[in-house]
Amino acid sequence: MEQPEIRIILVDQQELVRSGVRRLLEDMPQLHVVAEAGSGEEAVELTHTMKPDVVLMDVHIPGIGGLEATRRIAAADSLVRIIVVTLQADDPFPTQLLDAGASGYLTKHCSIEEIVDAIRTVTRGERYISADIARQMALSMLPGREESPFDRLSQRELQVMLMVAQGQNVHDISDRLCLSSKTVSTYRYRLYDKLGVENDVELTRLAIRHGIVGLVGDS
Amino acid sequence: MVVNRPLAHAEDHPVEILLVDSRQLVRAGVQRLLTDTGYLAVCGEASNCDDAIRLARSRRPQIILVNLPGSSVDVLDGARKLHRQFPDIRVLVLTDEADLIIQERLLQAGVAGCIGSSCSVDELFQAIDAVVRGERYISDSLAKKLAERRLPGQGASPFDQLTHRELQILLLVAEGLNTATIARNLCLTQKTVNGYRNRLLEKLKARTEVELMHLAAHHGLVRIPRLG
Repeated sequence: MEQPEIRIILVDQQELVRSGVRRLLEDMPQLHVVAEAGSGEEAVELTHTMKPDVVLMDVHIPGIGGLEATRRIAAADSLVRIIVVTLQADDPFPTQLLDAGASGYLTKHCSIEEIVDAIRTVTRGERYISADIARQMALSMLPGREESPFDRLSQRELQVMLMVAQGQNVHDISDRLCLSSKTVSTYRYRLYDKLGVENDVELTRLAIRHGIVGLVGDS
Repeated sequence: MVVNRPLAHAEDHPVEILLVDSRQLVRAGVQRLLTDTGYLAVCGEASNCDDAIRLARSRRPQIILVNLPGSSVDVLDGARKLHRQFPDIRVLVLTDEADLIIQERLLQAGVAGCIGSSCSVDELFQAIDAVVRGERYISDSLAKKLAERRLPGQGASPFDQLTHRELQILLLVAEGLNTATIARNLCLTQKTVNGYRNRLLEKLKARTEVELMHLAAHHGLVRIPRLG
């Protein structure tokens, strides 16, 4: 019995990765890669023009990124199935991506067999989450929306955090806020505690990741 | 030290390549691309440079292809170690095009070639062919950028004055690692690491380590992915 063709768009920053995965996928008779994209914008554009059945997309792509691309593609076309591929199993992404409209979630530690399985599963209209991700999610019991750890900070703590993240030292901060150095340090340690970090750089990186602060020198 | 003679390989003996990439899927795909040529073969796969060193001892590859996007420290360190332990093996490293400083350091360390990580498959083959012939490989655009850095008045980077060890520690600090962790990873005492941290603040004229991180990020030495 002839099985219908599944048309796929591959999205990854590296052409090498796209070409390699394409070669592996095209071993499967049913699967046909119709286009490749290297950025979030390209992915959205190509999905619009080529109308694939499945978009296989790396989450860490340049431009608008994988999460935003997922949102836009899902918003424009409810029929296309999006499978997101990520590197780290402990990336705090699963619920955000599934909420944004992804049907499947895999890590790059997966095999080609698992990808093919995922493609077939989402084409049937079901969701696919790799076993290790599913386990991770069950263990952390994430709520529907990812809460920002910064929601738990007091105004003062937020103030101190912002100044630390801008690269100011304890002396500058205590001057600006008219607090003693000791008090500023106490706030810093409380910040480390609440945010689960161990030093100022880790703190700053977390804030940048959550979009609370930008990089100094960013336009 | 670059050995300028072509790699020996007979007609029926493909060039043996060791793949280093943390992602199984990518290794599988790249392996296919290489073996489809008919003259290249993959003799082993590793997910990091330390494993690659162990594997290289037993498998004796002719080329080691390193693709570890997003971890400049590991790439720089790992590639240098690989080249030092196996001076006859050609080490080819894929790096982000924007990582000029990393690429420069890699070449100074003696790797056989640097390729941009968004390269085409053809360019990868060109690079492999070049190192098989005994040449070093850098893309035209990288050669141009490196030459530009040498022009008077052009972009001298604040990191040029750092020793390799200082650059290494800067990258680890910018990743948010503690002194204890850095000391453990590099087999140094905490006192030594703290000494480096202070020296970095001095040399780069930064008030705090967060400032160091911003400086490193601004020059593309570290990346902090947004959560979206």
